[in-house]
Amino acid sequence: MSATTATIEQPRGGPADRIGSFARDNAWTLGLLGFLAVLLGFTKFANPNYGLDSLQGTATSVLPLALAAVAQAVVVISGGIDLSISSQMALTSCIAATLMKGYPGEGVAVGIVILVLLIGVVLGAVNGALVVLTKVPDIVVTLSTFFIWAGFALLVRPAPGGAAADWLKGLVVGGLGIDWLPKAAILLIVLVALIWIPLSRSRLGLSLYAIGSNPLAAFRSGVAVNRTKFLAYVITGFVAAFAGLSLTASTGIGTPVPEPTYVLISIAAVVLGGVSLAGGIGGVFGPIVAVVVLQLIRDDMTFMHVDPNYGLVAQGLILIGVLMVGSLIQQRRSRA
Amino acid sequence: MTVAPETPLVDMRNINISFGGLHAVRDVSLDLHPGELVGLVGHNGAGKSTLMRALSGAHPADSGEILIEGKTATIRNPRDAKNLAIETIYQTLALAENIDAPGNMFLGRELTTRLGNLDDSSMESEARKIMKRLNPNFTSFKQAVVTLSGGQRQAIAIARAIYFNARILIMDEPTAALGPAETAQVHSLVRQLKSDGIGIFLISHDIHDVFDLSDRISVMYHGRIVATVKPAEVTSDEVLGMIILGKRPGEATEEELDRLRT
Repeated sequence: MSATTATIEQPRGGPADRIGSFARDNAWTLGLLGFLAVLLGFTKFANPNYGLDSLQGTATSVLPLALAAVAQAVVVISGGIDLSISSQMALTSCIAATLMKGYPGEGVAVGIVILVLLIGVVLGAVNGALVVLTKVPDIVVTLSTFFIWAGFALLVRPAPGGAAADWLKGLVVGGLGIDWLPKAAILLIVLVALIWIPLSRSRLGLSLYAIGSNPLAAFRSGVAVNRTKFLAYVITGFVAAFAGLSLTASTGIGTPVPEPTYVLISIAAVVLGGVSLAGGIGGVFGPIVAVVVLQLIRDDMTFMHVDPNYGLVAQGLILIGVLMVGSLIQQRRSRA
Repeated sequence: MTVAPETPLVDMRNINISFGGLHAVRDVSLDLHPGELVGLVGHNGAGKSTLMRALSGAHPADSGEILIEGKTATIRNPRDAKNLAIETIYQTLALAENIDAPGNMFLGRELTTRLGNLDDSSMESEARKIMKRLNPNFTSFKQAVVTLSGGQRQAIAIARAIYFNARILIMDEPTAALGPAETAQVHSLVRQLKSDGIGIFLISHDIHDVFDLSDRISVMYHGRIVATVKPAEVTSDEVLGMIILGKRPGEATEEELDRLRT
């Protein structure tokens, strides 16, 4: 009964067992990947010119959104929501572009990137502190900070402009050696591997799922609920700063007006990617795949000369469909 | 139960707890000895659960003193309580539904590898070891606990308490959500825990449960303790009288007791 007893019985877990449980745990993401493959095929059919270059273009344009979705997923898993992500991205992107214009130099840019990431941490910390200390609902807090960060972004850069270091642009544009390996995709994989995988394997990661599942039970179990909630927003701010930097890298400038669809797409992708808005369920891989799916649907509609406004309608319909299917599955599960 | 001048495991003195204008617990003193089970009974709102929340750290007392093994203890949150080897088993709401059984057992006190990662395989094998003792039929170690039955979930909650070497156990209606077989299982477990020297506070609505398991029964009425009695010295009618009327056996008139019986 002592906590220090050595492991006697190994849990079952042969390779086949492990693959089976991986497939079960990630059924939704795997299904989404299948849908993505079909969609890529359809894209090639809708636009025969869609080739490897286009794949790189898709990856570059998807990168900021994918990072926004990762940022959103972290906070939604913890039972919160962050509506200020797109203006966090605009602000960090503007700061990066302005500083890189004012202090050119490839080496200096490294310092600027680190500074901007720290600013992201501070923005997230402000969100988290407000949510925890004021007990005002997170949706209200982050809606308010959405306007605050957007205001700061316009103060930093009244108009789009600035610059980006060449190495930063080089990280996200083009392919890595072989054409079909977009650098943006590699960068995304590296960032997720460095941020999400250690997080999900840590005590903090388990605490995020616990407070998202049932904050009262987590509190009674001795989880530091407020600290965990705070840290969820900090991580979200940190990842949103990466998203802002990737905007600067892919466009070469900073744009002060936040793209409001970013935050909406990040939420849509989180839901479509299998994260429950009620918290405690899902991961970041589903939302990343979902971002690509949503982007490809929009691209395909453009290729097929459909009015882009119908693209928005289609995305909304998909979202409602996903939510309905999701709640049906949940009802069946709780009955079982 | 051996009544010796030993230091009580828990000694709660003059505890007061209010919610706004509602004085939920008034000047309550209560103690608990090793290997003893004290049943707490009373109406809904009598203050039983509120009193126990002061001990479990879920809602600290406004005034009064709590001594654990003779030493003054400051219990501000559940972590403080757990550090004092005080564990609580609730009727519901104590598990994070989307996390599996080992995750719930170790939540807040996770086992980690040397690198600081969660040590999932050690947590799972420890969970398997302890569940083998508690409930050999339990095999659902990889599923989110939302898919498990009430009895299975309660087994996880109990496993969690004893795994961490609880010395003081608070059971708040532990069998309310369980079927008869599962209830019997919990009862035999409770006796086993007592013989291990663990002190237990049991909150229950079921008078039979309480008579069956308790060494002493404390009856609460409107935030006060009416009396603390030994089950052998009272009848269940007398206890019911204390619960409903708030009067000690001698104080209630025959007439009042008659009215209860009808």
